[in-house]
Amino acid sequence: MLTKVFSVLVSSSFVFALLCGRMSQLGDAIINGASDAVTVSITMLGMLCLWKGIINVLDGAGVTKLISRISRPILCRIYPAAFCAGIGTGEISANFAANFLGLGNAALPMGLSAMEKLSQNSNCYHDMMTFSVLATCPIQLIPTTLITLRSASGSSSPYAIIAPILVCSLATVCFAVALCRICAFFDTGKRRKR
Amino acid sequence: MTYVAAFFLPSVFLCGAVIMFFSKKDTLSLFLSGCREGAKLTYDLLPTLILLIVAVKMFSASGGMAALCHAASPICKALGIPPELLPVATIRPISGSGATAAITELFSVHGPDSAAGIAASVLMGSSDTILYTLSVYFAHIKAKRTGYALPVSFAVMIFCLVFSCFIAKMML
Repeated sequence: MLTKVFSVLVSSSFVFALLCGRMSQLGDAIINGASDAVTVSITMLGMLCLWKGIINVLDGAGVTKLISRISRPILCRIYPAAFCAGIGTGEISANFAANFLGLGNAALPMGLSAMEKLSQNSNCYHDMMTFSVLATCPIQLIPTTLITLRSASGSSSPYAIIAPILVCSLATVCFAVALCRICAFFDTGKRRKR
Repeated sequence: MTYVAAFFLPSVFLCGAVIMFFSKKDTLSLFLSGCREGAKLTYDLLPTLILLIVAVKMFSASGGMAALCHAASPICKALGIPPELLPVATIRPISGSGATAAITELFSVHGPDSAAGIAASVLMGSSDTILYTLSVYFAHIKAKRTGYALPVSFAVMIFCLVFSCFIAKMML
């Protein structure tokens, strides 16, 4: 997937740069892009290490198990196969909880280990797909960065968007799960024919 | 409300500290091994990030992003999406920092409490960067194929866009 995305992006930007006469900017973007990626991963390095460490401690004390027991009633509807077999349930619920509280940095390592566990079991293939799709539309209780941006731009009510965002997030998640179910249905149909 | 949100992160760390104090397990080595895993994780993700970030930078520098916005405007008009929203909507699935820049621009031109400002806020709050998330997730499990995850994510993003415009209209 990534190779295709990469080649489409690169070749189309070459064509656009040719048409718009922005070839020198394109060259700059290549040089800066590579070093930007390193900057991003250095920023990530500290947070990811710290979170992985703290999560390990919390996990050792059984906190993730507790979270997974609390969120089980909702999440077992979304990931039936994983919750039925008990694969990666702690990670999935902890990822959900971290996203909900706006701890995106903590959500990433949990999401990655959840993916790892789901990918090891072929029954969980569709749950893994659903999980990765839902990772692109996380539900967040209080979007702090956005609120800060709004008040910085002189909004009269920076908090007014919290409820609409929750409604929109819920609708989006329902839509995403439904679409994943439909895709899973057709996908398994195709597999059986083979 | 932001003050409440500010509590979450320190609380998790307080929780960790209390556990480390009372637990009979070797929590320090648990923490250290987690840290080491985190370092390895970042190291493993670096090649994917370089590939993706270079491609995205190239695309926005070449004027491709602007062309995409221009091409999408008639479709958006048909769906009832305000054209001011397009720069934010097109960059949102591709680049997180780009989306922040685009929404700041929109706020300064149209104001955060305008219809477009509210729609952009709702969209921003209920979606995330698709390309980055999916490539990091699938690179981690070393999967070459992503199945139906990418097209479904984009469909979900479009749904989110239409729905946030709908909500913004309801609010005003």
